[in-house]
Amino acid sequence: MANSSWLDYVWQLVFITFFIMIITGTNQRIQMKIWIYDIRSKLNVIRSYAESSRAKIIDALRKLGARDPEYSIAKYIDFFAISPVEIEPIDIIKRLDHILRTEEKAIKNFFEKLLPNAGKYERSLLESSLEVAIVLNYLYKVIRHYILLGEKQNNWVLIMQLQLQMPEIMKVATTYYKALDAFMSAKPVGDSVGAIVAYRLIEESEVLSRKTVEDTAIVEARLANRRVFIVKAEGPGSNVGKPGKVLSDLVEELNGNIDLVITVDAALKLEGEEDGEISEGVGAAIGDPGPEKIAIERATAKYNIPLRALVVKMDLASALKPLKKELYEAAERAADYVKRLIVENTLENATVIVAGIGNTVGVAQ
Amino acid sequence: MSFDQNTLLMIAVVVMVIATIVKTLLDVYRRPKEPVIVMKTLLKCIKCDYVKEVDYQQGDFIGLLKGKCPNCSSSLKVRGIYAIELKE
Repeated sequence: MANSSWLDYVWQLVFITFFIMIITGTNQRIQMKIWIYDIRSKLNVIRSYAESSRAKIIDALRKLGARDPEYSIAKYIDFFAISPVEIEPIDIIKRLDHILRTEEKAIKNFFEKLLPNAGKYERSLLESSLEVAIVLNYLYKVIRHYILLGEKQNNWVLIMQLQLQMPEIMKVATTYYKALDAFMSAKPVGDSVGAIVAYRLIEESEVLSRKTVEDTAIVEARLANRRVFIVKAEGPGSNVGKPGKVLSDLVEELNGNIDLVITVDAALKLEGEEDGEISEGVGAAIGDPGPEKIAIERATAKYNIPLRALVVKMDLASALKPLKKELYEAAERAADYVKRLIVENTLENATVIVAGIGNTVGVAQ
Repeated sequence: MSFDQNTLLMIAVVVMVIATIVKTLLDVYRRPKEPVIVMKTLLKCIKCDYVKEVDYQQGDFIGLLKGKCPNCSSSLKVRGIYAIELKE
């Protein structure tokens, strides 16, 4: 009996403690501390990714003979581009295009000055690697900002939101970190499937002429008794080219006498879909911020040219990491699919443009 | 040794609290196992149907001429580069 009353006291004490904790919000503060601890441990991983990516780029720059790469990278690691004003839509594409080109030119100039003796190929790999390092650095700073803000303001809602988003954020951070290896060593990535399809079509056709405009290769060829212009970014460096602008100029150059335009790109799959699924549709399959896509749409709409799209599905991790075998095989199937589309939708001697969209790292032409 | 209902309940609550704390800490520290990835280069003869999969080497890219075909002595061209996940 004595034992039982002792336990009753303990129980009462426990329940009173819980009651006090609930009405004073102490339980939330304890919960918040656990969340903060978890977020901070994940933030440390993101910081290690950011620091490691930076160190790898500095090391690569040093090997290529750059002087004082630490200082140069420290200067560019916080590089940013400000989006154009959206409440005034007039000329927004032109303004966005201008900003994107200025950004691209600034990064290119930075590496040209830093590595005057390196080739375009090496510089393109480092440009993409720097972009990855910039993303990781930005991600680290944003997460750190919110955790510090949440702690400072004792804002458990902010901390809770961050905690709930951390698994997804970690996935993105890990994906970018792994993408760094692919870009630094010029291995094809998932996003290269469009370029691989274009390459395969070039391989299987009779090439008539080749030229490169704005980092974009245009190959004129005979394929299945059709005149086919194959457009892809100039490889094998890390480059996405200007497929929209180049395709638009090509349509104008041919006075719109084109029977079919096909764009092929990687696309983000929905959960439940398989990596490497191929889907066919209409429209411009290109994932740029806007200027390239609208250039294709405007050019084809102006001359009423059918615009078909083919996408190879994958998740973000597969798109940025070294190309998986399933996706390589999907690219091979997609090339056959494009040939079938050309034959089924055009007559012999028709003129067709096929644009293989995406980063051409590790893929020549 | 026998316990009354209250003691058993108390022990159950304590065990549950400890289990929850351990699980929370494990979730924080546990990292998912990373699959082992190896890169392969697929070589194909430009004349005959000879195809060979070799280990990827730094500098390989799709379209690169690399080595000679053992069947017809023509050049081998890199047809594909891809990652294979090793099963444990």
